[in-house]
Amino acid sequence: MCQCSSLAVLILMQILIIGVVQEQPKGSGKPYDRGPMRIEQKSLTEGLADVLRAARKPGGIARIHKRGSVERKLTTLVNDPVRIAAALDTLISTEPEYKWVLENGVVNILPKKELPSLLSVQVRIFEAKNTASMHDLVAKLLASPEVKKAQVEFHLEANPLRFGFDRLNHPSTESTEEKRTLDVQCRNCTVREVLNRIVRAHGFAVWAYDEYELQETKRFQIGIVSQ
Amino acid sequence: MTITSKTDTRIEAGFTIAPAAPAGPRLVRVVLPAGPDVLSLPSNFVTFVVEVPTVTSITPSRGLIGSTTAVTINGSVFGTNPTVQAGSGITVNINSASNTQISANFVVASNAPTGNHNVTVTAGGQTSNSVNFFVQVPTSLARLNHPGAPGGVGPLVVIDPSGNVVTLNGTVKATNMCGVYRNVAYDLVDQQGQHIDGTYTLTESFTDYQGSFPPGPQTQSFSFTPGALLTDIHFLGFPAPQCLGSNQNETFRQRFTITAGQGTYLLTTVVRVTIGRFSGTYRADVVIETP
Repeated sequence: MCQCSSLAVLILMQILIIGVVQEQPKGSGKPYDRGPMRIEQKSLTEGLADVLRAARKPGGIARIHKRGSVERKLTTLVNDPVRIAAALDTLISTEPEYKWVLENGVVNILPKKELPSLLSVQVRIFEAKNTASMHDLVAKLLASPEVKKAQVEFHLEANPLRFGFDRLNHPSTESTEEKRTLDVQCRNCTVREVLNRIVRAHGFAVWAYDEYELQETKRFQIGIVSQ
Repeated sequence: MTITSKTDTRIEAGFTIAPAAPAGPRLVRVVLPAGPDVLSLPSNFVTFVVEVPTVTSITPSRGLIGSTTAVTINGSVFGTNPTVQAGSGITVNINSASNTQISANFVVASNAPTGNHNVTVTAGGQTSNSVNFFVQVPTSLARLNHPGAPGGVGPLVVIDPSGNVVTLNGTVKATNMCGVYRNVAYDLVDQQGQHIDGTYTLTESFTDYQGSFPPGPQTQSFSFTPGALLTDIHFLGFPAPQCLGSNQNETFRQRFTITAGQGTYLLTTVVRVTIGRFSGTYRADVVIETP
């Protein structure tokens, strides 16, 4: 009887999870043409970015790269990225040391054993209004006193911020694109929770935390890998 | 021709026009059969014009493989219920049609043959002349002249001790930073060197990394919607007040793939980037090694 109740609760939770992860995305743009997606020779981060971009879902991934380790490349077939729970199961089936979780509509892939310490640091107040750049939000988070203090405590050096491609308005035309700005506020949130709020405010961006164990030090990098 | 009714003053007939019948005027006259009371004298000629659908233009005349392109077909004699053929791998969905214009979506499959497709309109059993619709495959990045980046390359910008990182569009990427950057402008082009308009994802990857910040940058992906031109920003630096040391720098090669629909295409373009401080001198060189 007790087992049946547990099973029923589990099934109900699964239904709720699927219901949540299949909600309509906030971001704009063309939805993915549903169908199988082949992921070939890509890192777990790239695979997650591909799946979440197709599903128009926000997310993040935290990885620790042990010294001397070589990053594994995935080659797999995701049957339908829009059915995101199954797609994520397929992705991490090749990386057994990782798990995926869903928190407030944001997918996170995290190490099963131990979350990188910096992501658990609590930030008392994070507040950014009318910010156009995702990178600016990340830079603001890195500049918070709690993160700076934790860097020293955990002997972590920051890699430089990375930027990348953007859409460029044609020189002969006025931009008709609406300038989007983001408001993100969080009180007493962990660094991971702030990052999740940032990508959720965007709609379907993906953050990535990479920590590298080097000879005498550790470096880390937080970036927006898909937007 | 089949006569359906006739009187002394009027003949009604149906003309069946073969699909291969040339367009243009035909001369028609009535010939009475000879009989005991009637001389077989043909009438004068009148003109009957055979009209077939004609396509004069298709706009746009190019579309990205694996994507849907909204096209307008202009011409004449499309009738009220035309159909459009665009060859293998292109499904045509007509949104609206008049006698002179058809609006349709060309759904180009990821496995559609690339290059020119013959597009014809069929109306009333007649098929038009054909015009070309070119299925584009992403091939390379071409430098794009821009006011902020003549010849596609913007100026070297040093922000030391602090400043903003600003894209060619004027978008502030990050504030209160310290380091060096340079903007570049590109157009994504097809196998004929023509601009590609469509929804696609650009993924950049990095190889041959050498620098102060191992193990190097990650792959990044961005989605682009129709009308997109591309700008890339190469920045090396930190949130101020931390600045680059005298010999903190990196070099790497950039390679690019485009995902459109179910297809992924590796571009030929390889870019060599050298950025940072070299014995105290700031550099941000962005050189196309392979076009």
